[in-house]
Amino acid sequence: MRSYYGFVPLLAALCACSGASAPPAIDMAPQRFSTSVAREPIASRPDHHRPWISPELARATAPVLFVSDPGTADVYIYSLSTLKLKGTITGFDQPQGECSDNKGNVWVTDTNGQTIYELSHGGQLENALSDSNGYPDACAWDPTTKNLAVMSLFGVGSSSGNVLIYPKGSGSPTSYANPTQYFYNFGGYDTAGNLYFDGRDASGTFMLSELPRGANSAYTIKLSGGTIYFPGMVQWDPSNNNLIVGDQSCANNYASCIYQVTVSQKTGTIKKQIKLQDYAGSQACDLVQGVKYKNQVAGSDYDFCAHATSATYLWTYPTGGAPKLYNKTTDVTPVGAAISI
Amino acid sequence: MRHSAIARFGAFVAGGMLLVHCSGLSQGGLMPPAGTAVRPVQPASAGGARNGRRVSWMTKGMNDIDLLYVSNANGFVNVYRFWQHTLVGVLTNFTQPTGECADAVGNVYIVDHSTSKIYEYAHGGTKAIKTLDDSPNSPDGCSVDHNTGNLAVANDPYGYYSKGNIAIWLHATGKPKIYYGASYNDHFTDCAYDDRGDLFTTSIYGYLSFYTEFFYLPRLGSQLLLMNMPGQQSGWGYVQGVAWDGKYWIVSMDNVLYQFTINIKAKLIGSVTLNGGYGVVSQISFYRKSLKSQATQVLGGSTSQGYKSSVVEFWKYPAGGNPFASVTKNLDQPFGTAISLGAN
Repeated sequence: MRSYYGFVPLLAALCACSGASAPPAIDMAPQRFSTSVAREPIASRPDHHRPWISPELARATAPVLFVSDPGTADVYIYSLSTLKLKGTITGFDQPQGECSDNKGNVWVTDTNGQTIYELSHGGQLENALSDSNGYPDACAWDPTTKNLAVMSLFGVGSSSGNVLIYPKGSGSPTSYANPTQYFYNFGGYDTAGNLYFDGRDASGTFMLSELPRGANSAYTIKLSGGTIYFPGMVQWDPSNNNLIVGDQSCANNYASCIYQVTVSQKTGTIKKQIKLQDYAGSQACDLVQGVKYKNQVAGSDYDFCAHATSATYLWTYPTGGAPKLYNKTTDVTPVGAAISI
Repeated sequence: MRHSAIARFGAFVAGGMLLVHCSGLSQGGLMPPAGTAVRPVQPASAGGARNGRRVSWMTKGMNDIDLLYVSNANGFVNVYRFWQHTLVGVLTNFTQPTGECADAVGNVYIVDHSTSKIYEYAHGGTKAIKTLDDSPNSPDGCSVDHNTGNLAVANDPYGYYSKGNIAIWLHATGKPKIYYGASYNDHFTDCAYDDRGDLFTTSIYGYLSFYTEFFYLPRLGSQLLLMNMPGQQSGWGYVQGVAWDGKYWIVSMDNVLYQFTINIKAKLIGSVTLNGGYGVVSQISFYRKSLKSQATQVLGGSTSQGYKSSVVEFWKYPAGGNPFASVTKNLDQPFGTAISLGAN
């Protein structure tokens, strides 16, 4: 699995036996067993560019945006205020979902590398954790315990995925799962230490789950008020006391949007849909993982729809719509996003 | 180190016959050629027996003087004025001194392979101010994190099938935390900290043939990361050591210093060739004007075939080339080196 982003053949039998139907407009089957978390799987074509970090970044403490690009196997670092590129970290296998911790470090999941890297604000490697039993594709930092949760898309040998919690971001993890969930995508902690994460069941249907603080297993949050088709970002918004959940197949189309979701017990209610436009005025093709920071959402549009080119954006939140800022000079196949402050 | 691990690996192979016929340090998987790169297999008690006839001594007034410490196969550690290259002291408290390292205030750690002891000497001191117990391990090399004072030691066990480790003493006290590599019989031979507190190590392992591997422990890391070091298409041969020059990681093999950066993956930047001596430079030390600057000098010892002649040589860095100075007296197969900066 190290040299290609293949589909896992052993799950073919599971696909055939699931009996569940795919969503009507888009065939979900090709995505089921790829280690890519993008709506359209991204093939790796490492650009072998030289890594570089601007001296300005090494000294600066202003917020920066880390964007992972599994196609080039690089992580780009942008100034959050200008979206100017300040550095490129190379050498990953398949960098995907990201999260940031209270130290301002950014964790990057390397799915095919089965490793989770911790990078400093200046892009230096600080730590690395292994996930030898699965394919880590996203992470979340618990501000209450300082634990790191890592979502494994699925397990080695085509087993179901899980959530690994590394105490204080170190050592050996403890595994948690929702028994009805098969694929584990993005996640986020609320301010009480409850973990929310999305993904899909074995038939490819979107799921949202919660692992309450201190619980031994997760359960499904039943959604009402709309339908989410393909898992995107999950982030708790303390200012509005709700979840922000992304959909890479908004309205079951090749388009992305994000939702405000309120949660009560085991029920979630979609309250608001926020559409995001690319610089050409079309709806964003594929915002795989966005990140809310203050009154804006940052992230990149992997534009396999060819409306524009792939680019990194800042949108006003919760207004959405046209971007307030963008940079289309660097991204090729962007996926993950995290902000280091 | 080389006299320990390599000799043991060699002894395992057909009573040494295969060792005699193997050659080519630059080819991974081969034994080192006999008598070229490594220190001889010295009986563990030999140095100690000689030491019994001498006591440590040091010229007075060394507090402000930059000093160079050199460990020898006879069990002595010579101390020189760094800039004048003149002998100013000898430490005799060892059985088999190998690696050396200095901390931020100039204290010098000397590992004693046979006795599993690590001795700390104050700059210019003749008696150890602290002794750490590394048993049951057999230390080869060491490095001090100048930010934290943590001491890392590369352990190279006796026994072909034994598994060595990296031991780290927080603040160079108490009991160490142990880190293991990826192989069943890692023999760690050297380690080095950079200015951030990241640790780079090398070990040899294998069965019949030996292989060199490298590990990296990021400063917040909890496990050694196996690191692929590019630049040797046939794999790395016997590596003399690893170091930090203030800008790049260094892998020292034979008389070439390979420069790398490491961040997720390692990237080869260049190399520096050290001419002179006897072809293979043992554990090197860099002289840096400050902790923020790249090294301007590098030094290391080497020994002739047959172990009849020894030398410690000094090169400009990163120029390399021919040495600009050397020391030949009072040496016996020099191996470990450390530079301890004076108070001023």
